[in-house]
Parts: sequence; structure tokens; C-alpha cells
Amino acid sequence: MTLTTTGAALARHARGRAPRLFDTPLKKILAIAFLVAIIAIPLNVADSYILTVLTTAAIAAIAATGLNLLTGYAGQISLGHAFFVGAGAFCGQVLGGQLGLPFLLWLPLSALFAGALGAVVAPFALRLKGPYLAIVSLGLVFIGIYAARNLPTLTGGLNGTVVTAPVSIGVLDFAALRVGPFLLSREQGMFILCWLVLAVILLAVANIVRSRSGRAMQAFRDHDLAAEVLGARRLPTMMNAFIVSSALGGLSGGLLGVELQYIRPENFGLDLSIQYVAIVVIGGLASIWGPVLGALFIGLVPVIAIRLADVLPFISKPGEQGGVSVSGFGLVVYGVLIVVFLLFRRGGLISFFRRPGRRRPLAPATTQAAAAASPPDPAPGITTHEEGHSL
Amino acid sequence: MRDRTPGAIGIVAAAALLLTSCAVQTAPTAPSGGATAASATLASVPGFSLSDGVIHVGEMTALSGPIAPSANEQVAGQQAYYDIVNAKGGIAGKYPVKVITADNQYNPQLAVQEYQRIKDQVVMLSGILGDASTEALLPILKQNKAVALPSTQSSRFTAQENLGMTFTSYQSNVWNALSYLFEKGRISKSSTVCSMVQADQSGQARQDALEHAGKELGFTVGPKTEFAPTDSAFTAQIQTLKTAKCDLVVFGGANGNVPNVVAAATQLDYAPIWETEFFSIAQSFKDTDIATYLKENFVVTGLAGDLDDTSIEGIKLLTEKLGKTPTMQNVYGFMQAITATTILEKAVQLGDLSGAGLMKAMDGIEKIEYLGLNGDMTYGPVAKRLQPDTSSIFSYDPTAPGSLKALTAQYVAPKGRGPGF
Repeated sequence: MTLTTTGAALARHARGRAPRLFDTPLKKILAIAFLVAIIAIPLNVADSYILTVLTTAAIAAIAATGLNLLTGYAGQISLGHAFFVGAGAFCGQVLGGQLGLPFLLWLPLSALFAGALGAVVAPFALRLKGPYLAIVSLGLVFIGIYAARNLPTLTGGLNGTVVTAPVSIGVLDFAALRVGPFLLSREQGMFILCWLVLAVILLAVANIVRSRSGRAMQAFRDHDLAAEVLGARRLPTMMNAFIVSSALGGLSGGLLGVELQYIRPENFGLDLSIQYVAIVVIGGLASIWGPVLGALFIGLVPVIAIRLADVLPFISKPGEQGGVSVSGFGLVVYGVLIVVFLLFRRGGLISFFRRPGRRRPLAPATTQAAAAASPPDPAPGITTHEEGHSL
Repeated sequence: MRDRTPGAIGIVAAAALLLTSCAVQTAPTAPSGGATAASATLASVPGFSLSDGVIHVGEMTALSGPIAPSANEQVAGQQAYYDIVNAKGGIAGKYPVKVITADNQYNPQLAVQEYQRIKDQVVMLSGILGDASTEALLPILKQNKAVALPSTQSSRFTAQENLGMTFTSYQSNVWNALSYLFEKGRISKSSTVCSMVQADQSGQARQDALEHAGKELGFTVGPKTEFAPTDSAFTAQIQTLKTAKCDLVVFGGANGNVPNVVAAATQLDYAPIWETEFFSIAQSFKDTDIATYLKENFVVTGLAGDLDDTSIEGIKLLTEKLGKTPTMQNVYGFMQAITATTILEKAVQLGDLSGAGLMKAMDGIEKIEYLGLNGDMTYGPVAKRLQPDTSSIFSYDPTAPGSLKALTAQYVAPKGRGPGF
């Protein structure tokens, strides 16, 4: 009782000192520029390929933001994120495509469905930590693919299903957006929709990590015993992280389905899970913008590789054997950069945007927790770099 | 005092960026009734500019990944035919064809991205490798009123007005092969014929053909066993087939499944006749232990005939162009280029290379012939289109070109085309 009261008091104290989300004029300007760019980029970029790549990056960033909450902020490694993304994608098609629910219903319900699956799995999965949780979560991916293959009325089975869920809010149909005299293509409309959803998610997650629950996640990540001594309860805290993470995966899956317009169980395999982990690590763990940067990086590397293909002599021409294919070259570049980042820039891409000497002091609860024990090591293989309280 | 700087900057930036909105179309105020799609004069469209006269076609295939070598052979086959056409001046003697490739890595998600990359550079896709990629692209093709030629045998795409087919259906190949083996006495009314197919529409298509053959030829249809594309263990399925004493198994699998199937069958000492489609890695087994089992037990359906038989016009042209004996994948690509070229010729004749024009061209083509490589593909209005009903049937022979020895070329079941095949 005493511990709980102390912990609550510390948490209240910490909440009072939590930084504002936009605590400098520069951040306010950047936030406004971000919102302007969401509208302006599709209005000024006609290349549907670039728009598709950027839209897919936004969708991946939503899923990776969820994973970042679990891995970066709560210190739990998960390789099962594709399971929740797939659950959201198929649920979105069933609710929006088969049952005809409107966008404002089917998308949140897809997120809720994935979150509910997370709630079912979490009590069992969270009994484990580190690599053990990673392996258990890995099992979810295989279970998900098996289940999807064997529920053909819902998922189309091995054939997959065409996604017909609507993407309109009232008169705003993002598949054929008309703004005054302007007629936007589907790619332009989907860009606006997905990046706006991402903006809302980033704001929500930034607030979550500033909340008491969010700070408790970080306290457990840094030292679980110290966090419990301070009155935080591990299971509910980690459950929250797992459920929100799963729900964001589901939300991302719903959007991925309508973006691709065709999904099948094999879309949501281990490679997708690994891609999300790579996005979080490359972008920067425990940072709000890290997943966005990571998703853009992973999305744009193949684009750059294609642009370079014509000038590099070792790229094989289609129809010829030998040499490196354009996609193969993209994968090599992608792999090399991951290695370079992990060796020389562990803070990820976000670390390029941080000015040295501006790190915030740890919140009192975390400081005490950290002081109570040996150096923080959130989970094997994970290095965190900032509390991430502000945008 | 509140800092209003960010807000002001935001408003200015928003106004500036929105005012430069140069990538949007103005909504049409009224339907244009003047110009018709089939105007007499050819106009520039995405993928074709009157200024240079080059018609660009896209090839969506797996240029990287495990099936890249076989996919590249298909691209080479396509290019060989376009080279022949271009040597005569191109489409209608004056519009050369150029191929722009896109790498889907056999992944439908990447196919969507890659299609977005090249769609404004090409008048049509002259190939899409993978049924899943075709499924993924179909809604987008419909939205864009675009045309593509899937590299598939799946008859479920024949009724799509945006897709142009080339090859014999899975059903016809199974039906023809079973009829041929029945005719040659390798199976009889007392035989039990079973299946081992992927649990998807291609597997069901083969199963439909097997059941049709069972009714028509009078043999017993045994158990249907299924597997997923990524499965690598087949002991359970093969044990089921062995227990049911299946004399012949209709096998509908992917390239990578063959070694594992042969391994499981060998371990269980089970050697029925396996009837299957051509698999592109057949030749790579020629120096392995698997080759003996394949030679004794596999019957394969495919195109053309012996790959060194230059009495077949298509093989002769392909051999001359490639400077070597072609592979079966070369033949597949060559045939698709014939389909694409015929559609383009008709579209040029009608004066419209847009997607709508190409669809109209397909409606206006009666049939496409393939220089002796396979039977005719019937075009015309989408409801009347029919895939060829011919199959070339091969035994596995490690010493033959492509490890395939033709048992018969362009065989048609004596009882004719099956229902809906």
C-alpha cells in the first residue's frame, strides 16, 4: 500500500513535469509543415509509383509505431507483429467489403479486433521476456497463416481475397477524391488518407508515452524490479503496451488491405514481421519519429536502387543470366545499410536529427528506478536512446 | 504573449504549396462527346509517343529470387519475338516494340508497387508472372482501364476483359493427358486416379478435370490430397495415395515441390504415374538421382514438341533468333509476345492504343495462331473467349533438350474439350 501510494505520488509529480508535445517553436513549425506536406505532396507529385511507395511507407510506419511502443518503450521483443497486421487486414475486408460497413466503422473495428487478439495472447506471451517472447510471438505468425488458409469464407484461403472495403468518409471518397475543381487519383487520395491516419497515431502514441502508463512501460523496460518497487504493476502495464501495439498493427493491416486491394495469407509472414523490426531499429528505438524515418528509408531504398541501375555496370539486364538484378542490388544496399547503422549509428536515423546536449533528465520515477539497480538493459539486443516524451 | 509565428508560417506554406498543385487533374465539367476512342488517326498515349513511334510494353516478372533464372528465360523468349517483329519495322511495319521490365519477385505486394512505377510508361503488360500477382493487379487494371497478359493457364482469368490469355488451361492439360494415357493403355477403367494439388483454385481446376475424366473414361477417382505452396513435407499425402492404391496421381505443384515429393515417394516405395505440368527446373535434375524416378514415372504437359524440332515454325524462328536450342520457358515468352503483337496490330489498325482501345482490339480479334507451338487462342467478345484445347505431352528424358521428350504434340482428347475448359 505504501509502495503504491509512493509510486502514484511520483507518477503524479512526474506528470506535472512532463514536457509539452510541441515545446519549441521549431517543433510547432515542423508539425505544421508535416500536415501541410500531407496535402501538398500528393497535389504536386504526379508519379503514382512514388505516391504508392510513400503511402506504403506510411502504413508500415503505423505498424512499426505500434511495435516501437512494445519494443522501444516497453522493452519487449516481438516477431509476431505481422499476425496482428494480417488480422486487421482480413477483418477490414470482412467488415468493410463483405458486410459493407463504412470506413469510420470498419477501420476502428479492425484495430479493435487485432487489439482483442492481443489481449487474448498477452497474458500468456508476457509471462516470458526477451528471446523467449520473440520465439513465442514468432509462433503467432505461423498460426495466423495456417488459420487464414483454412478460413476461406473469410480470407479466401490460399487464393486470398480482393479487398473491396470502402475508403470514404461521408462525401469524401479517398479512392476518387474531388476537392473543388481538382480531381485526385486513387494514389493521391490514399496518400492523404494514410498519412493523416499516421499523423493521428503519432500524436496518440506521443501522448501515451507521456502518460503514467507510458512512463511505467519505460520504467519496466529500464528495470522491472525497480519499477515494481515503485508501485507499478508489470502485467497490466505490459498488457497495455501489447494491446495498443496489436491494435495499431490491426489498423495498419486494414489500410494495407485497401491500399493493395488484394491480400492473401502469405502476405503476412515472417518477412513482414522482420521488416517491422528493421524499420524500428533503423529509424530509432523509443522515438516517435523513428518508425516514420525507418519506413521511409526501407520504402525508398529500392527506388534509389532502380534509379542507379542504369549507371552501374554490374546490374544485369532483364532476360540475361548472371549479374545482380535491380531488386537484388536494392536488397544488398538495404542489408549493408542495416549493418552500418547497427555498427556505427545505433540510435538510428532519428539520431541525426538530435542535437547533442539536449537530452532531457530522466523523470523522477525512472531516475529512482534506475538508481535502484544496475545499468539498464531493456532486453537482449535492444538499445534505447531517449525517453521520447516529446515529439 | 502567444507566439503566432508557427501558425503564420504554416498558413503561408500551405497556401504556397497548394497553389502550386500541378499534379491534379481538373474535374471534367461535361462528358466529351467529340473524340471517340477509335478515331482514325493514332494518338499518343502513355507508353506510346507519335514523335518516336515506339510502343512500350511492360513485363512483370520475377527478375530476382529463386525463380529468376526461369523468368529471365521467359523474358528472353518474348524479346526474341519482338526482335523479329522489329526487324520488319515493328507493329504495322512502323512502330517498334520495346519491353520495360518490372520485378515483382513473385510477390503480389511488390507487383502492385512495380505496376505503379511502369504503368504510365507502357501501353500494356505483355506478361504478369504469378496468379497471385495477377489477382493483385486485376482491380487496379480495371480502375485504369488497362490491359495485361497473365503468364498463367488459369481459366478463371479468361472472362476478364482486361486480361488476354495465351495458354491451354490447367483443366485441358489434365483432361488431354489422362485421355492420352487411357488411349495408350497406361491407365484403364480398372485404374484408380487420384490427385495431389495445391489447396487453391489451380488445384481445384485440376481436380475438376480429373473428375470429368473419371466420368468420361470410366476409371475410379481416388482421394484428393492437398498441400500449401510453402509445404515441404509430403509424407502424409503420399501415404494416403499409396494406401488408396492410386495408379496415377494428378500432381499440381510448384517447381520447388518436386524434389521433396520424389524423396517422400521413394522413401515410401511408391511409384505411380505422376501427371503434371511442365516445371522449369526439370533440366536441373538431369544429373541427379531424382532423374531416374522422374524418367520412369513422370508424364509432363507443355507446349510445342521436342525443343530441337525445327519443323515447328515457332521453334525454328526461336532457335534462329536465340542462336541455341530454346527452353520451354523461352517458348512460353515467345507465345505471349505473339499474343501481345497481334493485339497491338489490331489496336493500331483501329487507331487507338489506349487501354480501352486494346480491349476493343481483343474484342475484334477472332483468333490468334502460334506458329505451330500450340493450338489457337479464341478471342472476340470476352464471353466467347476460349483458351487453346491442345496439349503437348512429354516424358522426362535427361538426354533430351530441356529434359523433355515429346510423346505427342498438340494432342486433343478424342472426346473434345471438357465443359468450361
